[in-house]
Amino acid sequence: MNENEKQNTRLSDQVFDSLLTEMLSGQRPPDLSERIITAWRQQTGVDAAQQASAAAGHSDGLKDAHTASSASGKQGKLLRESGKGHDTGDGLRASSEQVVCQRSRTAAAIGQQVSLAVHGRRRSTREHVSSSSFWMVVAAAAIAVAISGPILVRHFPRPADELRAEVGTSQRGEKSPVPSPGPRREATATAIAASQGNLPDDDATALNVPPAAPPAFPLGAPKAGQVSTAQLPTSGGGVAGSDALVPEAEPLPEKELVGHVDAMLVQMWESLGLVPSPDLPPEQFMARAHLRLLGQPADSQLLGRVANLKNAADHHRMVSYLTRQPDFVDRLAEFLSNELLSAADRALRGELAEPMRQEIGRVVAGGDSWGELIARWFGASATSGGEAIPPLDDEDERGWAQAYLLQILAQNDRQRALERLGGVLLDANVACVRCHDQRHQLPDIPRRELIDRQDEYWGMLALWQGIQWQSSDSQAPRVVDRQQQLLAGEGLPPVYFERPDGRLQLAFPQLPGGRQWSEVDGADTPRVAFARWLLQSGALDRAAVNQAWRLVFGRPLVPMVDQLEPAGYPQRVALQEFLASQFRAHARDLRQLVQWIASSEAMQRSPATESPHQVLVASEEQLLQWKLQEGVFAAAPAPGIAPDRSLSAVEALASLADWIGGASLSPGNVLLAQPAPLPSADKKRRTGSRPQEPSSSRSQQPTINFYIHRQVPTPAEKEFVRRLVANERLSWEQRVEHVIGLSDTTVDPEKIQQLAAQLLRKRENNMEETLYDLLWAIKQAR
Amino acid sequence: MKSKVEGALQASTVHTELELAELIDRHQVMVWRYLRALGADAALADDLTQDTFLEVIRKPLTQYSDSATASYLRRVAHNLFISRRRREARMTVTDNAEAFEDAWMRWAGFDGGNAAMDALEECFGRLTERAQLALRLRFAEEASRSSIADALGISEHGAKNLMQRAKAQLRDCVKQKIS
Repeated sequence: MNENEKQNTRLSDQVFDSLLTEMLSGQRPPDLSERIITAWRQQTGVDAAQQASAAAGHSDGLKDAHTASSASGKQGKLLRESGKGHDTGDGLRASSEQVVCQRSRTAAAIGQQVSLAVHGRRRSTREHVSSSSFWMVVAAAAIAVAISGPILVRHFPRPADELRAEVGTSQRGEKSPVPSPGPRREATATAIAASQGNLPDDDATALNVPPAAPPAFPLGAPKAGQVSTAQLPTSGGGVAGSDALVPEAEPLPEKELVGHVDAMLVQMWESLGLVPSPDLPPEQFMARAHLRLLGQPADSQLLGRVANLKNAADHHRMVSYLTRQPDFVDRLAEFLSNELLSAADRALRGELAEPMRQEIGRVVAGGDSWGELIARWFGASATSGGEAIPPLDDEDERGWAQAYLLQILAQNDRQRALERLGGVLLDANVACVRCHDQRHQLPDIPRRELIDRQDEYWGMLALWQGIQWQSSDSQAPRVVDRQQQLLAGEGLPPVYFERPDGRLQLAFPQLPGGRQWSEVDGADTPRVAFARWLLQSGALDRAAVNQAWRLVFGRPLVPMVDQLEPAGYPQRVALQEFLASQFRAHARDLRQLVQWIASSEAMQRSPATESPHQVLVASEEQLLQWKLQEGVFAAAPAPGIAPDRSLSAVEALASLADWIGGASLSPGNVLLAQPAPLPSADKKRRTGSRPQEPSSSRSQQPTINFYIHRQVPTPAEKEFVRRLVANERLSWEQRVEHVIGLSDTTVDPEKIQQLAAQLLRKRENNMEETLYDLLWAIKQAR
Repeated sequence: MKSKVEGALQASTVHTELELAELIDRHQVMVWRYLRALGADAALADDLTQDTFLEVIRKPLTQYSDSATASYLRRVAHNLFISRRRREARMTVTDNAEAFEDAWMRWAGFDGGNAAMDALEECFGRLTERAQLALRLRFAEEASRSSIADALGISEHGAKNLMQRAKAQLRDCVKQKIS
């Protein structure tokens, strides 16, 4: 059980114990109505006489109601006296019931009618502790409603669509989350004004007309100059609306398609003024492709067979040969299932790993649609052959058992699950958006992320309410969908989230990009709508491109956070869009997608440096140049910088923390070299590692047996670290979390936090240097 | 003679009181229980329940739905509880509002815990007499484990196991009923 699960269990026990204590100790919730209203009157300086006077000025009926409710109020006081503050068991319940029975029948009847008419549902049987003053004021309300009905209209629940029309202005392109008053609100204000005696328009503002904004709870006034990020203008136009349905592209023949990819890569390198590194010789290309696609080194016999191949078409033949191997299917299935399962807790991971891997394997081998598999795993369906397959019904036990993604999202720690799945399925860094809106550093890039604002994250999280695990003595635990039941009642409730300035804001359940789930054709519940939207929006296709690119190159084509890798970002986005549209046009065949990527010019690049020794003696400019080349795939990773490419972030950090003996040339320019572990020790330390890339046969440099960490930060990295260090509101742990959030792979945050703290001490509290180390370690883990 | 604006303001005050009374009636049980679940004692829960409603009514409040209002009240109550604990320099039970909200919703659902309490009463009646006694001693009288063991004539370890099993049965039973 991990820390999150422990915490969830502890909190769940805590709530359960408190209910148990209440039942057994008889310490029931007291009736605090009168006390609170009295306190409110004192606070606002309103006394009873003023109340009565105000009421008398408006209605005789209201006066009658006050009279009636005064009696009831006295009874309430008696009740409290007999209860002596806290109830001592069943006594209060009995007394309370008695008071309810003795209440003025007229007032009670009117009040009940109003209550039922307005709220449209029965009161809970346990709500016996109703305030006597409540009945007093409800009686008054009954009459007041008759006189000035519109006054109360605004306070009662309204149809969800209408609410969204008012509140849900949080659509893209708007500067502020605060919606403008809609026509209905204006009408209400006018009606209130009219009911109060035809006040001029200007006076309507004095009538306590509620703001259209979601209620915000001030936890402290924002500091001068501090502006909520939600109010900052967003870069680019509102793409999401048009992005909701991606137009179909014509499927291109493979050769032409790869030609396009190559042209786009070359164009990117030219625009950056980069000369790509030379082509790899065929046997090295085969060695590299074999390792990346099959997860194991090629044997010498195979390398010998390809040594004499000459032209570019041969690269495609090699890749095609490799992607037809059963090992490729296994590797891709394992890679994708591991990515998805990183969102699951340990127990679920163990349970789902094999079936998920097998199903992905079948889809890859059969050339079936990745999208349809994902939809099925959400317990929904895509369209197949133009016909919609209905979503799972309650009785379909097998279907529910195979709804793996629902099972992951039904876990206790849904936020973590969503954040991991966001990266794998939505191509969005959801973890960042949980706490603050994404800042886009590149204004020329159209907003392509579908989730880059806090309210979008929380709105999406709210979509999954009602999906839960259920267990009982007679049945094994299983996932159930209670969304229909919730919808039959009040609907999925909105959630509140905390903005960076400490204020609370409301988020309605909605699809990423602000689209309403009910707008998705044929979707009767949010989860089905989400699955269908996922397939329509293009997000899944972009995410698939990034995942496939990561399989082949160790890191995604388009980074999740644009701030740190701005080089060639627009071109990378364009390439990703192109590949995504073709992936979709080719029926989302994963094998083909990987094949296109692995056949591209990027895969044919040789390393920019031939030996690790060059890295150690290179100038800073040269190092930066190599880093840029590698960053935009114009060169393969330099050999020997980390002899074992499977070094995880934790291992990389641990090695740094163990050995800070390297010379620190200047802040932000750290040179470290550490003896690599011996093979036996290495074997112990590695878990699930990838085999080492075979050394170049052309460059017969002796293998350097050192981890080399030559961290020369780019200007973007320097700026990122500077801002992290300069932000005084962030704790050290939060700073580390921000760097961890940049990781493309699953990392152990707790372990990294520990190591980062250790490293910080060794670096004598130099946060900047430690964060550079951390950045290196995180990137090392790709 | 009162001016029109003055009259309107008074009407508005009456109106706010109606709103407050309605709000309290609907949600006070939930807010109080929630604060108790957070770890507030009864007196503190009373105070903070009051503070929660006063804080919420301080500003114009638009109620979108009952559950949205309930969720908002819980967040306000949570913040007030955390602030109070911090002022008193005491450890908080949890400052992770979302995690606690999840735990709360698991048991208390959308009705402030009423259904869970009803289910709990029913399920409690199904426990053996010894298990009922053990839990009563523990939760109603806050007896120590050794006192419970003495009262039941079993070892402390036995008392611990008995209570754990009884709570597990209760949890399963309540879960089944409220789901």
